[in-house]
Amino acid sequence: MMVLGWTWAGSDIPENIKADETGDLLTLSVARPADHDARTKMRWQVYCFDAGLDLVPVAPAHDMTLQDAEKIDTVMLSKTLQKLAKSGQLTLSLSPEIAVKPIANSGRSYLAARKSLHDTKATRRMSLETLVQQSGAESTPVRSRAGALCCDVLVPRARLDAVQSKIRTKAETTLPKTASLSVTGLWPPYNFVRMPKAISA
Amino acid sequence: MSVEFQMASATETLASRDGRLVDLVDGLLHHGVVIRGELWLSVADIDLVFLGVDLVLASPDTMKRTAK
Repeated sequence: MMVLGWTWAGSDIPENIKADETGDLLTLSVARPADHDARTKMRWQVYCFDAGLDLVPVAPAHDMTLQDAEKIDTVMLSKTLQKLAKSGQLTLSLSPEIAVKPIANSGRSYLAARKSLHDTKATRRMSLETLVQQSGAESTPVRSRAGALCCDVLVPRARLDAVQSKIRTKAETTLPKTASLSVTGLWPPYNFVRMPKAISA
Repeated sequence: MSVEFQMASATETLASRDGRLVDLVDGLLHHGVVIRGELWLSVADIDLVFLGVDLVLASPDTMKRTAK
């Protein structure tokens, strides 16, 4: 079996999901498919989350069995689930601008072009940080991935429309006019699971 | 000119072939609960060496690149 994460005992469990009692919680799992990959697990987690379950998700790329899951501290899990109740994450991605290769007709002009590129990147980062701050929600630090800048915002389900609308409005005044912003979600709160060590041996 | 804005649900994002959204999903795969194994190597009840091992699923190529 492939462990997806944990939810509250007594929750309405959607079809094809196995739920094992773990203290006050349920460990959710599915039969491990032959073509298992991280995205398959993520689809199952999104399926559970979209069915309305509060969810502390296992990292999709992390292969956790039911035996592994038994080692998790359920008191810490309950506290984490309480903190994340009725919430998910929006993931924002600010796409890279088209990079202009520095023209090397002189050392000075090359350095100037490189500095300009560096300053542009720093401005983009700051603008995304400002946008997220103005959304008023708890957020992760901005991180860089494949040239894009990403971060996540923890959003109560009931406030999803309001937060998306606020981000869209603020983006017009906060981001450079040439920016391209993707806002995806709600996802299970992958980047807001902060737990101490699960086991020691 | 205005900011180009794209919104997508989690399900739509997972199904998308847009390179930006594919990268976005790839960036989420390693976040969430992981089991962290910690091991003390001891001799005669004296703790000598602490090993912290994150059991994270990654391809050997990714691990080699990360190690460099």
